Amino acid sequence: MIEVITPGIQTTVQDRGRKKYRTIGVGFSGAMDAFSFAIANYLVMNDEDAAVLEITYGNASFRFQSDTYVALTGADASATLDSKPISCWWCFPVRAGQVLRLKISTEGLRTYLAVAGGFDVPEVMGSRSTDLKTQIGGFLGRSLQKGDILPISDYTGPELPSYGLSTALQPIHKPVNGECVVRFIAGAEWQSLMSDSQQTFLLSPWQVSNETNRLGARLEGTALSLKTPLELMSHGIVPGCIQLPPSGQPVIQLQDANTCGGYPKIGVVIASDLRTLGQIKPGNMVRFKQCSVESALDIAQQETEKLARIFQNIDMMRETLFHQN
Amino acid sequence: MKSDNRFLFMKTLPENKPELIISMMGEAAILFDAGVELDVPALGLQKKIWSISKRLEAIKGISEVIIGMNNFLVSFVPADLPHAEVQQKVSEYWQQDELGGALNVKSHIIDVVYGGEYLEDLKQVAEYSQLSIDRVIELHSTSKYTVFTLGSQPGLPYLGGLPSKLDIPRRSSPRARVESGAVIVAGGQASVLSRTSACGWHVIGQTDYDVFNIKNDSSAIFSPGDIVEFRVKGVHL
Repeated sequence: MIEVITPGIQTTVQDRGRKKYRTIGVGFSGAMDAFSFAIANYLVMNDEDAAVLEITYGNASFRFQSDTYVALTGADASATLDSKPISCWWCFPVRAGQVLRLKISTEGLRTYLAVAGGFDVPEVMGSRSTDLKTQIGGFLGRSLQKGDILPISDYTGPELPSYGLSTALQPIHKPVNGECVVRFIAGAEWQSLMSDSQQTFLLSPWQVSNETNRLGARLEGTALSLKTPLELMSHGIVPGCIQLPPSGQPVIQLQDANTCGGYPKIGVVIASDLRTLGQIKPGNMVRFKQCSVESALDIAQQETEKLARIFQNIDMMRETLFHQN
Repeated sequence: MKSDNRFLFMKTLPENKPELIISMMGEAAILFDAGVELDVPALGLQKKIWSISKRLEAIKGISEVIIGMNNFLVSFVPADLPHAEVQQKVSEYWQQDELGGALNVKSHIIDVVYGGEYLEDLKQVAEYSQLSIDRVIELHSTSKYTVFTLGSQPGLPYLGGLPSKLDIPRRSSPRARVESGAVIVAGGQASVLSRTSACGWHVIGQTDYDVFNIKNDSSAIFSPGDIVEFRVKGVHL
């Protein structure tokens, strides 16, 4: 069991998401940075679909009521265990009674906390992810609050060393100097944009607004215009979909997005760059770069290989440390 | 509504009317739209889409078919099924006229208190359609609607069958918060909000009808093909 002492601004239980109920209007949810999520579970030898905590902006603390192993990945929030510094991208043993504290994350937005065995909340509609809109899944269908006691599954695996990713292997997906590049594939209404609006979209930086959350990222910049106003019928959308409401300020739909929408679609952010959007903060800048379907698939392949290399490295390190003991 | 150059990935299926407009939705989904030139969604087209989506869902490599209003979004695993093959399958099926088996249709009657908190919307619909408020309520509550699809929110029904006189565009700026149970219209469509959320449609009334209940065996109360009627429970002007 883990007790929530301070929940931070938004901490939710997430896994890979709810994949089979979009046809009745229940969205994916799931970890916003799937890459960091996968590494957190791998470090503590969990199933790839084990539930973890997604902590937004850090500033959270937890008291462990049993011995376990913990891994932290994603945004570095200068964590401490009983006041002793703990590295991000690292797995470490924890004893009952110890307190893990995260400060405000300086770079990146979301930290993933995995425990060996995973968080043992009930599966709802095939997933343990919290769906805040539908109020299902995770812990009582809501963000964590002070005093919540979270059950964790018994860990039956081998003893784990204190180990983690070398700096060179830690995935860099945080904005550089507050700015990040996001690649997209043009969508149905890209050609309906005025040509100078197409240029503005591609060449100007877009500021991430304060009204940004798991549902979507609102962007602020020079307003874009369509050649003629469009009133579309509702259609299915996916996370990453860049919509253009009448205000002319784009909105990027994210993991908690509605399953259908009706605003014109500029394009869709490629799957590999969704994790970047999971780590941008209000005030950061986004630049868009157009990408072909073929390059998006190449990039996805490279990402898969990169993750496989990280997993391999984790395996090697664990083996080596075992033999030293 | 249709402008030149609107569709980047426009492909025509010459043998077949209506055309399907095809566009990529990222690298792993394609949107097929049959209703681009229509003001209100057509039931005949929708039936064809119900039937095709069932067949598509059975194909290995297709992970999901989200049915919209006279359109459908096919998600697939590119490593198992390249996008060109998805397009080919869809156009093959689209050209066959066969309809799937009959749907198991249920009827629903939804009691509505018209007006109330968002009376301004009801007034706006009346003004836009150049009808009296009474006439708007009468038209809305005497039509038979068909559930075209579910989506956006848990169990939320997209209803076709709104009288064309009540066809009004969405609000230019969505309201940040509208309570669940709001009876809404926009873009030639009608619906009922299942969750308190932001909403860009016009709210003409309120109902207690629960459109999604996680405790039920099938959480969504409506299914595509179901018939829905609205009944006047009260009017608050």
